[in-house]
Formats: sequence, structure tokens, C-alpha cells
Amino acid sequence: MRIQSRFVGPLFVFPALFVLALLVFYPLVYTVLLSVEDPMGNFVGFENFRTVLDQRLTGTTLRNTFVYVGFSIVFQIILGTAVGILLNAEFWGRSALRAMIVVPWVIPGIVAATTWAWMFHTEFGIINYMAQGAGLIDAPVGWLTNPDTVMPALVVVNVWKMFPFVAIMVLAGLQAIPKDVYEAARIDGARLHHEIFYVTLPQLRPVLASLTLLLAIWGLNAITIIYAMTRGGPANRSIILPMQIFRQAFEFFQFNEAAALSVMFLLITGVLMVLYITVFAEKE
Amino acid sequence: MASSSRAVWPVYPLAAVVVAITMFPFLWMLISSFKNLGELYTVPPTWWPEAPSLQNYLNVLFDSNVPRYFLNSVIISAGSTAIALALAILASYGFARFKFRGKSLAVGLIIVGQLLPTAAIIVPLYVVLNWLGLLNTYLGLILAYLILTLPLSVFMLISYFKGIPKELEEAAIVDGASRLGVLLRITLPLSLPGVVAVIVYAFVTTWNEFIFALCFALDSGTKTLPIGLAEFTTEFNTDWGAVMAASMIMTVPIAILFLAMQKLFVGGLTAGGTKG
Amino acid sequence: MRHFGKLATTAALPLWLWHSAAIAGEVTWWAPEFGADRAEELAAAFEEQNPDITVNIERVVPNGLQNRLLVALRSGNTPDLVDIANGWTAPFATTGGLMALDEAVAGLGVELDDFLPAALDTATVDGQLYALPFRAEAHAMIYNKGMFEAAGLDPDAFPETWEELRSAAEALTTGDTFGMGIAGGGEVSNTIFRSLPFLWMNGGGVLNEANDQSILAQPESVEAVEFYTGFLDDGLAPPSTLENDGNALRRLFIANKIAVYQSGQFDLRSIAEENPDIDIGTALLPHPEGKERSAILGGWNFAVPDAARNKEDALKLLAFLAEPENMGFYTDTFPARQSAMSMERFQDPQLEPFRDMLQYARRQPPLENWVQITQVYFDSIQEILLGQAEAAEILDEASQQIDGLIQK
Repeated sequence: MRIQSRFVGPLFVFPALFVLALLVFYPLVYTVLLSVEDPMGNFVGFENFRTVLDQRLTGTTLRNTFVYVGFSIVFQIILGTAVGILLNAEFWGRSALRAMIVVPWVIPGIVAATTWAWMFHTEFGIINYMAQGAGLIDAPVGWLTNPDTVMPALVVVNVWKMFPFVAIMVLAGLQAIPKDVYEAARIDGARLHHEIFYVTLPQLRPVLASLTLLLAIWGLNAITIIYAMTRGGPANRSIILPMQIFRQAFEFFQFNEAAALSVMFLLITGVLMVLYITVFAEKE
Repeated sequence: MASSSRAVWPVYPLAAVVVAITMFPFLWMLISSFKNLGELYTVPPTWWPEAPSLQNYLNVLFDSNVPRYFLNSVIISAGSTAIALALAILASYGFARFKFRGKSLAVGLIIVGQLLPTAAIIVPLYVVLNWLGLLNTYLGLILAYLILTLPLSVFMLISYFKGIPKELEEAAIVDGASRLGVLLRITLPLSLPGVVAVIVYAFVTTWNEFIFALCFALDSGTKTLPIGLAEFTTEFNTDWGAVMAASMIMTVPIAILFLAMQKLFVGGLTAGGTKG
Repeated sequence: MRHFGKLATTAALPLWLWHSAAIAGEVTWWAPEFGADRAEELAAAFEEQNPDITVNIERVVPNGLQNRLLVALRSGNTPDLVDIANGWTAPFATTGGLMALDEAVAGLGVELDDFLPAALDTATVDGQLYALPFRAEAHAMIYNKGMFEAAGLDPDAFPETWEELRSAAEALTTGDTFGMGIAGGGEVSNTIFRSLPFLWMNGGGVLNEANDQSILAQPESVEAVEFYTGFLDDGLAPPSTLENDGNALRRLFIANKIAVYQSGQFDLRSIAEENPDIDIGTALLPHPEGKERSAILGGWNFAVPDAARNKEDALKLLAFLAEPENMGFYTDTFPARQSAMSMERFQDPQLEPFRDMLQYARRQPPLENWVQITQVYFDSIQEILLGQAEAAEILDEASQQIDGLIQK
């Protein structure tokens, strides 16, 4: 059986690898090729990169991308972990709560985005109405059109959409922590917050670390929320890199410049991932 | 479980806050979908529809492309889920049960597939699909969606297959069954929760997908529901009431599917996410 | 194996490809959904006259049509006749893929003299005709007569000049209604169609006559942009301006939140349906003192792709559709032929200003990267609406960016 397996194993794995190679690795190589060509297919070196980098917009885009993804991750992790810990408690209605909380994550991003856009609407939105009723603001705020509020508003939506996923994963991680760890802490007289900070969180570290990586990837990919809520506006205050790639390719039909942006995007994410994995691996 | 047997903290108020945060947008969507046009655009907004009406739903169901897009979504999601499942079952079994040269490289490739920012490959993928004549076809989207679903599906199933005792399979092999036969008759039935998790994961992911559909589906014959919803907000005579009704129509099937399979799905996902 | 059998069937079901094959005697016509019902009727009438030709109408979604047609033109798998927005005609003609129609049109006896010159302009590149216009429209002002009366203004004398419009907007702004609704959000074209005419009538614009340099930083342009954005700066337009597109403006008008806005005639029906209490007035766009009005010509053209499989019959269908009464029947707004304008359906007095605006209307510059240029222009309008820097400064920078785009 062992002898046979040397050939059988690859046979099982091959179809999936072939499909992924066709759909991921070939396009990946092709992106690089497109990025150094002009629309006629002539080699132009780094010309497309220069064009893209010369645009002031690219700087804005990069900054927005980091702000959007960074803040989203921080709040997704904090809120998700807190809710995960809450869900780990025993109380009546816990399973109903568990089922309910996952819904934002399961529903289509476009539904979340349009619903929130409607809630954030300056004139007819419920958020302005409630905030005014509660005396928090005097006049309606243009949440999605004010440069100071547009990013926070988008981050709120993204956090709302993804924290349930963090909560569920954290819950799974918590349930894997052996009970005697807590009992030992309790015998030592630990209070609840001690317990959380000195026992629970350190035990969760591996889960949180891989979650951060996943959230970063998803955050970098996600243009649905921004596309549907602001299209990158006002005046490019909320445009992020994938959105700019989309615009360059499918609104302006400049595929080569879009490819140059894609290559930059790949490099940045690649570097981040490698950095992250090395730092994380060292600490382990 | 353990830490909380001491009910020292205000669980219920906290739970109430969490429920309010997660559910409010749905409630507002639901309420808005029953309001008529005039009421939607009144200032201040009303908390409860004064004259609840099904008009928005009727508009969406009989006066828009949404039914067609619904059909497209079902076909594309089901097709892509089926292919992802078949490929993932084979690949995970290969990874879980066999040692072979290049295995870690192969696993590495799948991890890259999982971590790759898909926005970076829409452009070449568009060119490739166009070259294959698959732009604006069901098959084109079905294949493109494999990029999103296949890698995690493989990892989810690997951990399930590893959990099944080899001895069961070996007994069958001694009795003369083929490897594929063993996989289908013994291993797979035992990993049913994992299979269900993959199905739900792949279906939900493809049902919700937006960007690929936006770029690769160009007409009503292939556009999916999320694109239909985005179009709603830009067309001449549609409005937020219809958008909210269409949102409900999109959300309900997925919510039901998810809630029905919730236990299995979360189990499978956490297995794949933490161990893979 | 039962499981696998099922899987295979499920997987194989959706694997058919979309395919359109045309053979002699068949014409494939891509008609956008909003006009497809009327297209079916016209096709039936055409088939009756030409029993040997079958017209296959494919209803296409306008959203994404440009992209889809681009793919089709590149791959050669095209329809025989297609409706395209007039703004796409020049880019498509420049990149290749559209048939030059001059000879064919002359041969078929279509009288080009009868067409709106500006509409023909949208279909002309380097002196050659690449499409045949059938639909033409321009924005006019829509206003709430009741609010005019309440503000002590004459509801039948809409402001003629910019200054009069300003003071009317001031008079009409009360507490929670605003005198004027301007677009500053949504799809880029919403804001282009509503603001660029003001630049043009003031002698400014985004590009000069030769379309080889930006004139956005010139005083005439700056003044016009400031006139437009000034409605928000001075609190005469609602605070939601930066998220308002044409749709949102209509909503605000229906909800009695704004008294005046610019739009096309398609808004009139839905206003009347949704808020019958509003006494709707329509008027020409106000102009600067001593200067001419202006507008952007919107509309749609018919085009025949170079790779069409059945050009001969497609051209026959084209000639049929170009007949005044057919064109007048097919268009959603106005026909591109002036003789068709006398048809009953265009005689509503409310439509008169929209029709009159057509004579002031011009096409958008026929540049291949015009979309990219309008994005820069739109971003600068939004930037000015945000009020964080001087308009002149912002437009100066935009102007340089646009020059960079033209040189490419």
C-alpha cells in the first residue's frame, strides 16, 4: 500500500491543483506581463508603473487602504473577542444569540452595504434622526459625504459585517482551553478581569493571530462595501486600492495600468504577509 | 464554559446590546421594505409603516430582472459548489492519507490560493476568460468562483479526513475495495458534517460574491442577485423601498440555509480555520 | 457511486455557453431593456414588410452594456445592430469595430439633413459617420410652482439669468426646504450633465475647442463652477448634495425638500405619479447675463459593428427604424429627426422647454479617455463642494492632471 500511494496521492490532488493553477497562477503571471506592456502588446518596461505612481491619487489610495484595513481589523478583533467571551458564558438563550449574531457575516455584503447606506442617508436616514433625537448632533450629518466621517462610517459597516466571524472563531478557541487552567487561576484568587487578561487572551493568541491574517486578506479584497456606499467618494476620500484597480480596468478600460496597480498590490500584500508570518513564527 | 459559571457580569444587558447592534439593520430593512414611496421619503422617518404595503415586493418580483438574477445565482452557486466539493474531496483525501514528493509544495500552493488578494487578478482573469470565450457565461463565473471556495474547502475537509481512523479504510482495502471506493463508501459518509460545512461555505460565498460577477457577468442572462441589487440603486425609476425588498429576497434563502445548517457549518469552519 | 452521479449531473447542468449565431436572413439586434418592448413591435412591423428577414431582439441591460459591447467588438462575436449611448460612439469608433455608415446611409436614402446637427456630431469621427442617432434629449429646469407662489415669486416666470436664479433660490430657501438641488454624488455623469453646461455657457469648459488642452482653470470656468457649487456653500442646496445624483434630486423634489432642479423629461411622469399635489413647472436653463444658454446632448444611436454577420439586412432594418414615425415611436425622450418632432406625443406643453433646450445642446468631447477626464473633473467638483480649499486652486490642479491625460 505504501508503494502504491506514491502515485495515487498526486492523482487525487491533481485536479484541484490543475484548476487552481489555471485560474490563479496563470493569471498571476499574466498580470506581470500585462503590467510591462502597452495596449498593443509592446514591451514598455516600467512605463505603466511610472504613470500610476505619478498620479497623486495613488498616494491617497494607499493611505486610505491602510487606514480602512487597519482600523477595521483592530475593532473587528476587539469586538469579536469580547463577544466571543460573552458567548462562552452560560446563560439562557445563548444558542439563540449564537445563531443570531452570525447573520451579519452570512448575508451578502451588498445587502449590508445598501442597508447601511440607507441608514446613513443625510436626509432620510434613521441614524441622523436617532442621533438628533438623542441630542448628539444639532444638524443632520452627511456621514458618507463628510471627509471626517466617511472612513469611520465605512469601518463601522465593515466591523459590523465581520466581527461575528471573529466571535465564532474565538468561541471555538475558548472551548479548546482546558478547564483546569481556569481552576488553577481561581485557586490563586484571580478576579474576572485577571482571568481574561492573564489566562484567556494568551491562550487565544494563536487563534487571534491567524484571524488577523485572514481579516487583513479579506479587508484588502473587499470593495463591495465601498463600491456600493461611496464609490470611493467624496473626492476620493474613501477610495482603496482594489477599487482603483477596478475603476482603471472596467471604467476607464486601461488594462495595462490596472495590471501595474495589481502588481504593486500583490507586492504590498506579499510583503505584509511574509513580515507577519516571520514575526509571528519567531514569537512562537 | 468554565470561566463563566460565576455569573459576576451582567450577561443579559450585554447580550441585549449585541443583539441590538447585529439585528437593527435587518429590522430597518424589513420595516423599510413595507413602506410606500411617500413614507420612505418623509422627514423625520416613521418607526412603523403607516400603511404597510407589499408594493415593493410586487415591483421587485414582477417588474424587474430580480427573478431572472435569482435563477442565475442559484445555477452559478450550485454549479460552483458542486465542482468545488468534488475537487476538494479528492484533493483533501490525497493530502490526508498519502505521503508523496512535493506534497508540502502542493499544500503551499493552495495556501497561496487562499491568501491571494483576488482583486489583484480580476484583470488577467478577465483577459483569460475572454480568451476562452467564457466571459458572460455561467461556466466562466462557476470557474472563477472556485478560486474563492476551493482552498478553504480543501483545508476544512483535510481536518475531517484526518479525524477518521485509518483502520476502517485498511480493513476495506484488504477486502479488495479500490481507494476511490473506500473514499466514497467509508470515509465520506463518516465526514458528513465536514461535507455539509463545505457545501454551506461554498454556497454562501458564491451567492454573496460581488466583484467577479460585476466584472465577468455583463447581461441579464448571467448577472447574479448582488449585481441586480447594485443596479437597483442606479436605475431611473427604482428606489430604496424596492432595494430593501430585493435585499430581503436575497437574504432570506441564505439565512434559512445557514440557520438550518448552523451547527455543522460552524463546527466545520472552526476545524478548517484553526487546524488548517 | 450514487453520490458522484448526482454531483456530476448538478455540475453539468449549467455548462452550456451563451452563444449567438446569425445566419443570412436573420438580424440580431441588441436593444436596451427600457425600449425593448417597443423594439419588438417595430421588429414585427419590419418583418411584415420583409418576410424573408427575421429580427432576433436581445434585451440587454444598459448597466454593463458598454463593457459587453467592447468584449463583443474585440472578439468579433457581435450583434448586427446595437443601440449605444451617444457618448460611447466616438470611443468605440476610434478603437475600431464600428462600420462607417456614410455610403450605406446615402444608398438607403436616409435624409441626414433632417437630423439634429448636434446628434449627428456625436456619431461623427474624423468626418465619417459611425452611427445613426435616434434619440436626443437635454436637461431643462423642473420647479415647484406652489413653492414659487408661497415665496412671493411669479410661478409662470422662471428666472432667465444666473443672478435671477440665485435670488429666487434665496427666496425659496426656508427652514427645511431648499431653493435649488444640485448633483454632487452618485455616478459621475449625473454631475457632469448638470454642471458642465454652466461652464459652457459662460465661455469656459473642461477642454478647449480643439480638445487638446484643459481650460478648467480659466476664469470663465472657475466662475461657472463657483456659481454651481455656490448653491451648497451658501446653504441654498440641501446638505446631502454630495450624495445626490439625478435620482436623489427627484426624490427630494417629490418630498418637497427642494424647489428647483435640473433633469431630463423622464422625471416628469414619476413626479406626477408619486406626488400629484405638486404643480410642476418646467423652464429653460438660466444663462449668464448677455450670454447664450447651453446643454449637453444626451441620447442614443444605432450602430452596426464591422464584424456583423448580416450587414445587408441590418442596414435595411436601420433604414426602417430611421423613418421618422418609427424613430418617434421608439425613442424614450425625443427623436433625433426634427420631422418626427411634430408627432402627437411630443406636443405636451410641459415638454416644450426640454425641446427648446435641444437647440442649445452640444455633444461631449469625443475623446477616448473622456471618462477618465470627467472623473478628474468630478473629483474636483466634490473637492470644492467639501469647501476645504479655494475653487481656483483645486481647478488649477485638476486642469494640469487633465492636460497630462490628454497628452497620453
